[in-house]
Amino acid sequence: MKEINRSIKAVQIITASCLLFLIGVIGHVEKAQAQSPRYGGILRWNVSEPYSLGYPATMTGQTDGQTSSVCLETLFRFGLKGEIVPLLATGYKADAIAKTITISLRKGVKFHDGSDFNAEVCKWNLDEFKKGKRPELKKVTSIDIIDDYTVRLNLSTFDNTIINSIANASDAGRMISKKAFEANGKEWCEQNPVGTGPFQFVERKKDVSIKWKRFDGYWDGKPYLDGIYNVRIQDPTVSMMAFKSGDVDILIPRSARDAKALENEGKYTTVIRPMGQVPALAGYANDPNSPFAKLKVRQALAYAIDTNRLAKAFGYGYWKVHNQWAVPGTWGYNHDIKGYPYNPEKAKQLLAEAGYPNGFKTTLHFYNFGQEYVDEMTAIQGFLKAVGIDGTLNGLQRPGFAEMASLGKGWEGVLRLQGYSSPDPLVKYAGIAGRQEFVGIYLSSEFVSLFNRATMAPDFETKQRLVHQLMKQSVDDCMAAHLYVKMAPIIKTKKLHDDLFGEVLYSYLSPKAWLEE
Amino acid sequence: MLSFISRRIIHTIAVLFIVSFFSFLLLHIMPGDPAAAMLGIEAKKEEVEAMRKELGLDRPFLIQYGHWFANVLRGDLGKSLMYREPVANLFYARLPVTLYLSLLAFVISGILGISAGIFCAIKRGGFFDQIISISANIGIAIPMFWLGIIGIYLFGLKTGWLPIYGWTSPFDDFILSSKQALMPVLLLAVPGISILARQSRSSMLEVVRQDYIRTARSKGLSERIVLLRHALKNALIPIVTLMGLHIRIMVGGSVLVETVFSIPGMGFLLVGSAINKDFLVVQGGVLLIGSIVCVTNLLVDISYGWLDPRLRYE
Repeated sequence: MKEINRSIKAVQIITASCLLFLIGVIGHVEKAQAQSPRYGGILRWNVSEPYSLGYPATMTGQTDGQTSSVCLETLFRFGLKGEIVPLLATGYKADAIAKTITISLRKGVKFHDGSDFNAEVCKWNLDEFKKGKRPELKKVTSIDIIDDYTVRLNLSTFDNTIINSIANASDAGRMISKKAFEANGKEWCEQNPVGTGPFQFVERKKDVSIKWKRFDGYWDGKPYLDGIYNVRIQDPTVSMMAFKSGDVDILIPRSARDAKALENEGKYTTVIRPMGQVPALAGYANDPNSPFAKLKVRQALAYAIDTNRLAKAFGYGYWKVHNQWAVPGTWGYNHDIKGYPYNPEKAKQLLAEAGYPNGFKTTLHFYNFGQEYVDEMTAIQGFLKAVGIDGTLNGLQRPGFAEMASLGKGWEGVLRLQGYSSPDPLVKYAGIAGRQEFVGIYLSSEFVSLFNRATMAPDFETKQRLVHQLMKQSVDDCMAAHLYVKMAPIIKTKKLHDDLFGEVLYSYLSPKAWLEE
Repeated sequence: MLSFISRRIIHTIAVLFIVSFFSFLLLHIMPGDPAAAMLGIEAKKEEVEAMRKELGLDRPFLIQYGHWFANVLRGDLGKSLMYREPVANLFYARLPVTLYLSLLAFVISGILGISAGIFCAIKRGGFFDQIISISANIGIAIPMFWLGIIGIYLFGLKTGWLPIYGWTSPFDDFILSSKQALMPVLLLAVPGISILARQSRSSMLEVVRQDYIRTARSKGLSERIVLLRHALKNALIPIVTLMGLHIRIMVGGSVLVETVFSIPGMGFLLVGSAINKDFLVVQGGVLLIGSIVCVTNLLVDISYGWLDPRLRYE
């Protein structure tokens, strides 16, 4: 009897073990399946309203290019470390002596309308962009077709930043179908993008949505996703609720506080964009009677602000304090620069030496993009007042800010500069050095000379050395009081995989992105 | 009556001309350059100047206004700087959305507000009168924006009963459209219901105390006839005035509601255009809304004659 019982127990143990093993195997298989790419699904996210979607020369701001980038590809794109990666090109060769850039193009690429991508189409695209009088390709005098898949850009002066412009730092390298343009014209193309990307345009309802569907003939293999659905939600609170309810899969939070709150919930994937906004304060220095024409006043402005406290209070751990235009971690960053660490006593002393022992009154202009900006500037106003710079806040809407930044109109005090960092700091500097952007900023001849030499550098080592010198010059001149890099987090559903969205510059979405069921 | 209407139409044209001139002037005085706004905050000086020239913004103010006005007389409202399409096309697509929401809200607020007011007047001092009066006060005081966010949180995020945002035409998908329109319409209607309920209550209370109502009752007329035929018609004059005013409030309110719920109506368009100094859209919008308000006022004035023959114009 005992033996029978023992046998039964043994059978029970073996059966239980087998069951446990089977459960484990099935679970493992299911998990493995869940982590394998699958076809299907629509990826949804909120975008601002783009104006021109499909004609690069009239694309403005960042929204247009970022929204259409799933459809219109560029010759190059940026990699995870900000390096240039070929996309519709396969490589390039820059010759500083001959003042040329030769680009080899990818073969076997078709546009969504079935036409071929080749050297003729590439040249036509670059010529169309030049016709739009955009400054990015100003130094390109002509474009030659070397063979069916090679073009050569002839330059008036060698400029090593052009390659950034034809990567997706601007829209210069975005390729559209020549056939579609010839058949339908510019205005049609602006609203109906025809590119080579993994997704093709379906429909746009202005201020409502944009639909894209998978392009089965994509040169890098059939994309996994069925399509993309961009929605337009104006209010940031509603946008966050739409994300939490699952109506959208990706959220670019308006404030660091919102991002932190979502990250703390632990239910989503958070990625930090490699580059961010680089705000800085610059006094109007074009007028010799302006206090900011004096170096000591500009230095006092920089010493007066405790950027560490501001970053801690408003950045929720996402903002990085820095002291130069280049972003920490990039090749242009000069580690030897000490900058102007917070020192209110030094600031007061410098003001007194500059002839302002009792300080002075001024205006603090800034782009009012929401309450976070007002709070940040109110804190800065307090720091400046403590040393004697009594600033009145002037929050501007987009037209007012753009006018002040581009044309200098109304900029009589301090302007909070803003704009996005670039892997190549020379791209950021181009507008400033050419007096085309932030036109009231202090600009020395030494700085302009160094900038010109750096853009003409024939190799990377020389360029890097000159850029480091340029960073030092800008800090010695105290062109602006640098605050921090506002690294912008992106929150995504955990169901999204291999997308690279937000990990690579300028909202690139990998064609290999896929969604769990 | 015909001469009255003709005079009012001439007044309307003069009002629209003055309003359009001053709104054009205000937009030009406001800080900011439309070309710079269009090109974005990282635009270069050269690009902005080229764009200003292309758009004709480098010409003197009066010439720009004169050019715009001459085009309007020819039926051309111009082309939007930001949307890059004719302003008339933008209005054609968006006006029906705003009208659909506003008219639904108008009808709901009219029916519920006036009925509640009459009910309160009949049951004066009772439990329901007190409840409705308190609710009406809350409805007037509560900010619409806040109510919208709370509605989205409760009915969209927490319960999932209604969509959080968006717009679908009722001709495309009636069920989805109704679900999407429910919260915005109710939100637009809440202040109207509250104001009309209060006004109807006080008007009715004033009228029911009049001698002719007592006479009507003494004649043996039923209470329903006394209230609906004799009291209500006389109480309607201030209510109709208020409803006329309320159309303007609803057009204004649609700006908030359309922004919160991401509805592509006139409000959404005009706010974005004003922020970006897309002045041709704003000008066209001012002209259109001005016309709607003037026509509404005219209809209200005409309705007075029907409601009270003593007010009929010779």
